[in-house]
Amino acid sequence: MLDSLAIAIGMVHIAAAIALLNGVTTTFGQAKIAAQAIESIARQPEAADSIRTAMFIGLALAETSGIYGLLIAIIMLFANPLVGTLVKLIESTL
Amino acid sequence: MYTMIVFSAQALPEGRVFGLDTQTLIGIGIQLLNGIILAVALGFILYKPVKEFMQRRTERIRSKINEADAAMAKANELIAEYERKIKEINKERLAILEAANLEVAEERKRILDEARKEADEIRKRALEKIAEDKKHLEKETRLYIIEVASLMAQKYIAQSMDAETQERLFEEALAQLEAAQWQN
Amino acid sequence: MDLNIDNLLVIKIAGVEIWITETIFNTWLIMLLLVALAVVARIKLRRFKEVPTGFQNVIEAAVELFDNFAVDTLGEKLSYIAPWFFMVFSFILSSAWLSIFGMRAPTADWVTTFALALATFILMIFMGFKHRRGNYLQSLFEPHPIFFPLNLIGELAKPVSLSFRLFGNMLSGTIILTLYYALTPRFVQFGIPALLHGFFDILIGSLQTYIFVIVSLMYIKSAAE
Repeated sequence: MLDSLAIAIGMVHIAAAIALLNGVTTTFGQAKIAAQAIESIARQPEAADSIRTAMFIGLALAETSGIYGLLIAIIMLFANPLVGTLVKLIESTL
Repeated sequence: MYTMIVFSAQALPEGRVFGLDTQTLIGIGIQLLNGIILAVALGFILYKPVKEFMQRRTERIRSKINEADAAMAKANELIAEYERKIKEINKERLAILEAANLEVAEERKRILDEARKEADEIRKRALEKIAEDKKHLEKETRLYIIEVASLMAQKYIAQSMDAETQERLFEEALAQLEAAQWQN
Repeated sequence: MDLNIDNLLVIKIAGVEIWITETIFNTWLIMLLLVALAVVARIKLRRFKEVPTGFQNVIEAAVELFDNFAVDTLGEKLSYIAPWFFMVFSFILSSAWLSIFGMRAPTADWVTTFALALATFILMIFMGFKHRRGNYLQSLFEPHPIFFPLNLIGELAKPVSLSFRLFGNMLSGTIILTLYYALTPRFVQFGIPALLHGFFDILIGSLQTYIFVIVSLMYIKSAAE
C-alpha cells in the first residue's frame, strides 16, 4: 500500500515537471513578442511608448498559458485531491 | 515576530500553499473587505484631497496666468493709446507749425508788398517832383535864354539892322523856339 | 524550508472557524502602513505649498502619475473608478516590497490575488451594465449565439487568469528565494540574496503590478465601451 502511495507521489512530481514544460513554448512566444516590439520601436521610435505598453500587455497575455502550467503544477504538488484520497484510504486499511 | 502568537495558539491547523476549500472562500471575503476598506481610506484620505488640491492649484495658476495676460493686454492697449496720442500731438504740432509758417509768409508778403508799394509811391513822387523841377527849370532856362537872346538881338539890331530885317528875324526866332518847345 | 502560509490564529464566529493566516496579518500590516502614510500626507496637505518640495513632490507625483495613467487608459468618462485601482496599485507594489524584508507577500497567496481579480470582475460586469446596458449581454452572443459558451468561459477565465498571473509570479519569486535560503550555507546568505530580491521582488513585482492594473483597466474599458 505504501508503495502505491510512493508511486503516486513520484508520478505527481513528474506530472508537475511536465506541466511546467509549457514554459518553453510560453517563453518562445514571449521572445517573439519582445523581438517584434523591439523591431517596431527601431522602425518607429516616436511610437515607442504605445508599443511598449502593447508589448507588456501582450507579454502578460502570452504568459497566461505558462501561468496555467504553473497553477497545475502547484495544485498537483500542494493541493492534490487524489493523494489526499489515497492517504485516507491507506489510513483506513492500516 | 510570529513565534509568540504561534506558541500562544494551540492546535493550529497546518499551513499550506494553495487550497480550495471553505477557508479559501473566507480568506477571499476577508481580503475583499480589506481591499474595500483600504480603497475607501486611501481614496478619501489621500487620493481625492491631493487631486482636488492639485486641481485647485492648477486653476489658481491658470487664473493667475490669465490675469497676467489681461494686464499685459491692458498695458499694450495703453501703449497703443499713448502712441496714438503722441502721433496726434505731432500732427497737431505740424499743423500749427505749418499754419504759423503760412501766416508768417503771408505777413512777410504783405509787409513786402506794402514796403514795395510805399517805395514805388516814394519813387513816383520823387520822379514827379524831378519832372516838375525839370519842367520848371526848362521854363526858367527858356525864359532866361529868351531874355538873353532878346537882349542880344536888341543890341545887335540896334547896331546893324533895319526895322524890316529885325521883324523877320524876330519872327524866325520865335518860330524856332516854338518848334523846340514842341519837340520837348 | 517553509513554503506554507502559516496560520497564526483561529477565530470562531457563530461556529464558523476563521483562520487568520500570515497573508491576512501581512495585509493588515500593509494597510496600516499605507493608511499611516496617507494620514501623514493628509496632515501635511494643509501645509502644502504652491511650489512643491520634498515629501509633497513624492505624493503629488504618485497621485498625478497614477491619475494620468488611469485617464489615458480608461478615458475621462470612466476614470471615476481610479481610486480603487490606486489602492490596488499601491497595495500590490507595497506587498511586493514587503517580501524584501523576509515576510511573505500577501500577493503570494491566491486568496489575495483572487479577491483583487474578483473585484475587477465585479467592476467589469457592473461597468458593462451601467454604460452599455443590454448591449453588454448581447456582446456575449456575438458573432453568433453558438459562441455563447465560449464567450462565457472567456469572460469567466478573465479573473482566474488575472489572479493566477500575479499569484504565479509572486509565488515563483517566493519559492526561489525560499529554496535559496534553505539550500545554501549560511555564509552566502548575506549580500547575494539582495540581487535575487531586487529581481524577483522589485523588478518582477513592479512589472506585475503594472500589468495587473493595466489588464484590469483594459477589461473594464472593453466591457464599458
